[in-house]
Amino acid sequence: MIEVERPQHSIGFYLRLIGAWALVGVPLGWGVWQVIQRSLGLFH
Amino acid sequence: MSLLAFLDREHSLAGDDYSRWLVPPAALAIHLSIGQAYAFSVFNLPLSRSLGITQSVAGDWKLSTIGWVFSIAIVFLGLSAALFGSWLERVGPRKAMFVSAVCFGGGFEVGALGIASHQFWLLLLGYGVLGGIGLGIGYISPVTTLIRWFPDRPGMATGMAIMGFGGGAMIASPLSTMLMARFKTPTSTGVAPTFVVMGALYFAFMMFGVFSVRVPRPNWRPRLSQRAEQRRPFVITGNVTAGRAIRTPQFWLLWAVLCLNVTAGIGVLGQASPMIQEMFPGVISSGAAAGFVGLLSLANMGGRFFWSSLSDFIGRKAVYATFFLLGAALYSVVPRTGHMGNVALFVAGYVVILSMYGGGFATIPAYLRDMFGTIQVGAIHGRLLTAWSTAGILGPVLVNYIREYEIAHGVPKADAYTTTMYIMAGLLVVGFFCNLFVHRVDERHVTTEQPASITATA
Repeated sequence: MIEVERPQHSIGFYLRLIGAWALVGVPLGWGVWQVIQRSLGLFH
Repeated sequence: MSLLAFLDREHSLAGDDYSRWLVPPAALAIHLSIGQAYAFSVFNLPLSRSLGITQSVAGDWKLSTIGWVFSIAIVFLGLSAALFGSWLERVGPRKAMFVSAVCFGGGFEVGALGIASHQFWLLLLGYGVLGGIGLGIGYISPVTTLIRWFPDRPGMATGMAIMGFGGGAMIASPLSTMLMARFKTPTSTGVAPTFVVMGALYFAFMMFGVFSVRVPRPNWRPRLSQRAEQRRPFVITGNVTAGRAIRTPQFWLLWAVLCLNVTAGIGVLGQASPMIQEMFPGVISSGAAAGFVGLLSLANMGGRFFWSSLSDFIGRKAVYATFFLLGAALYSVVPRTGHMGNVALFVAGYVVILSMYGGGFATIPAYLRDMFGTIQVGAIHGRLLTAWSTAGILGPVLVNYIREYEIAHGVPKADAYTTTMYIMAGLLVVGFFCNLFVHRVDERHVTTEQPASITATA
């Protein structure tokens, strides 16, 4: 493995990264939760 | 800067403070939106009562007629992916994503007009044709970009985006139901305003992808990527153009690999609810069957990420060999679990099968990259998606017609799926051999030209 120097990023960089993932993650998580709730009926 | 100039490839080059981990969310925004197509069936019943509201009346569209909307959308998905692939490589992902957003969002709006005025041709033109073109361009638009940003993990990167296509229906289905309930009145089913809102929502969501996607600068390399590239003797070192790729046996073998894998899965996916109810009569209610369909959707989505990420470690050929061998074994064994009355084993078997169905879609872009290089992998992927359109017809036809034939010849409903499953297992064995014959592409196909799309980014 090659050792590399990691660049220092601004807070804005990390906020943008978290915001982007949250924007797609929240609706996807909501959809998955809806399906899980529906699937529970299979084992009742 | 004008909007059109902003969409150009030259203006979407990444700056120094850009993280490649911003590209998967951009790609997911597109795929989560266009994945709505898988949930179109929630509109079927309300659309069939557009005039009668509570029940179908004379002049209402029949369910079989409404079915054409989804079929036309999928046909146009395949056609546009195949036709616009080379254009996408030339103009870059941002413009392609924008056109996809306009077509997909606009398709909803035109479709809403068709529903409101009860003009079926307008609904077909809007959601089917325009929306279908948006689906096709959107599906392939992030592939090349993701592969260039993640040369060390192409399977995981493309799998993450294509996972969104599987997950899109999970968002769209409850969202559509909620919106229709909100807009429903004694004189309207609420489908037309639901289309208007969904078109606007999806357009806005896809624009997030348009604004946040970037292409890597020339000669950009990820850190530590050498580690992954050193152990891949199977991977081509040059590039093959899309026009040349379709003249290689590798392309057609991979076409067959995708087609057979999808055929086996899609037939089951379409029949999952009646199948489990008929296999376990009196045990599984329609509500529990809906839960089974939901679990299969989760497996389809999770498999897209899991198997494609695994392919970065064990190789694409090994992953597809697993799909075909394990799939054939499961298709042969699972009907027996139905006879044994074991619901848990039956469900587990189909969860694994559907995870491999999703995995087949998600791993193919990385397989194409291994075979043909990166310069036109999006265009090659677009052409390969015709295998999906073919399987979309072949799978349901096989399952439905064989089942009907069996029942017509006195086979009990619970046993009617067994023959179909054996045929699916046979198809997977054929797929195993197609995958086995895939070898490294001959060097004579490697291009020495430098097309515009290469010089712009590499």
